[in-house]
Amino acid sequence: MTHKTLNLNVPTLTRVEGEGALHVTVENGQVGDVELEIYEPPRMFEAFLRGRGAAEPVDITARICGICPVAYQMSAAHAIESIAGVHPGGAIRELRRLLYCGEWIESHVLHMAFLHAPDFVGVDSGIEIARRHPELMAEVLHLKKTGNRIMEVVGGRPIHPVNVRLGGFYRAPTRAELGTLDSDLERAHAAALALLRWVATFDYPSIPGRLADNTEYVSLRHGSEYPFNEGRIVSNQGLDVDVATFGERIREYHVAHSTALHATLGGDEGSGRHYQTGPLARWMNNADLVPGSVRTVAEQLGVAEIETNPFRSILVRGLETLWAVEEAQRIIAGYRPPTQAALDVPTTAGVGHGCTEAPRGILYHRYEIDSTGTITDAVIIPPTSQNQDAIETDLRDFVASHLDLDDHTLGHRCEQVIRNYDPCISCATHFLRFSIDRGD
Amino acid sequence: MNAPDRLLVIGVGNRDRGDDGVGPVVCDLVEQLSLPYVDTIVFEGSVLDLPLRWSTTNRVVIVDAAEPTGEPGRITTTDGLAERLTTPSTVSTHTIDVGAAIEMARVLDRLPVELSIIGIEGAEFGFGAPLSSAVERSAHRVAADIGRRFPDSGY
Repeated sequence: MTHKTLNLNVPTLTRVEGEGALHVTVENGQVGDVELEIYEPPRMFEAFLRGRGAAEPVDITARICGICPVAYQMSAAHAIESIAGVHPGGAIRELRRLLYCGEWIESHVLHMAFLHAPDFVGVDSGIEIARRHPELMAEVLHLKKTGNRIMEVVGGRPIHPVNVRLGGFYRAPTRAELGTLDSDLERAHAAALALLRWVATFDYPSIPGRLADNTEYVSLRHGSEYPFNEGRIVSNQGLDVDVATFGERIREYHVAHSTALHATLGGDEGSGRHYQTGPLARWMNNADLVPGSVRTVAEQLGVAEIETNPFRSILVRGLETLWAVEEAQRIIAGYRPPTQAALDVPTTAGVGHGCTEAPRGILYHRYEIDSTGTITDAVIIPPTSQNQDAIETDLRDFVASHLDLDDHTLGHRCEQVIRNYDPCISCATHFLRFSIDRGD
Repeated sequence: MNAPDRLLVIGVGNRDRGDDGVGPVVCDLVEQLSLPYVDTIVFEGSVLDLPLRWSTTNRVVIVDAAEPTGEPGRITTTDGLAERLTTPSTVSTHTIDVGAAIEMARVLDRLPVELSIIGIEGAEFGFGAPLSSAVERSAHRVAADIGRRFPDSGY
């Protein structure tokens, strides 16, 4: 008889970088419970928002995450602007995309080089990688810093931007200010390529019999561009809905072992369809929308338009980083400051929905506003919550197919399975306390 | 690009969080001295960017608020080159600290010629709070000391 108990813990930090643990039971060679425990107050921010003014979520929700504040700002802004029928276009829209480029670059590069790559290299940290590859990591540091620089120039600060408001920005940067990013982006492009080519040399584990291959991959899709802020919500299994109706299809449900709600599509815990969001979903649904330059690199590196191995998500993040650098260069090259930094967003009662692509997947916001402009209800569904089922499914399948591994290796691999999703539970680093009871 | 031997004062902290803002305040005070060979940076970004902020020919002083231990305003100076700061054995986005940034600079051969880390022990870190009096006095002492190290300052 074989019996295993695995306890894996994540230090609690904020709503998304929450505290977590993993509990797995194996009896008679069969995996029993697989529980990704997250200890975090997932609805505190929604409670904070009730009674606040409609202009405030842009700043309040940005504080949910220090890695992806732009995602929170964008989803909040789009949701509330939609109530008033305001849809910023032109230069404001481009600036929003540029700001998002900065966030994707800094978030993806941090995850790839410092959190995820050590798993593949067999070291403990990015510092150890730097010891082995100093020239590469020096450029990677600059690449990450370029992402933060974009956020600083457009958003006013490299972390937690303060220049975003409903309708646009408090102040639009000048062409000269954006021009200061040109040389950084040129260097960053080479670094993004070098990082991508390096991660393409990794050996990628697999999960035999992976059930998640049958789950739905959900992302935004826009008609003509790789998605950040806009588009319909689609899946590889035919889902194609307006953001405004997506909330009706998500069913959040509570499980005893996690304070973060899980989510399914089109039904409850028992009947709903399991899905995942993030780079693999975005790439699967939008690979045809990246420029030919990025598609060519993907082909050279053997990245297919449909990638379902979660361990290969690091490759897609690398492609998205390369794309974000090129998109930033495109936006800056064509930039003409808007005549107004922000459109007026009149106080309007109603319900608004916003969904944008955070680096780790779709981030959905819903706000109910009364005639005084006061928020009466708020719902925020972050990608990490949506991906919990997929993570647990992967863990179950991985443990089931790797019971021959020793405790240390199995524990390490389980951490890596979680990190494949770049979850904002301690931002997915080497966080797990691991023990196994084999029932001996 | 900074010329050789220039001193770079990097103030780390959040001005809106009481004593956490002491690093930026020291930068303000040093700026007021108009020292000819001293540059200041108020640093709000990721600490991993720190190695990219200095030149290997710089002398660098990093000023940050230190954790309360009951002695508000206590100044602790550490030689960042001679001493290895405690760094987490692993790097998460929430455990990347100055020690990890210095270690990264070390392995990338990007250490400055001098690196002092000055911690000023804080007491109050509330939203919008001013510096506590003991911390403010220490900020002036640190700025004055920087002025003395560069006698052209006239501090």
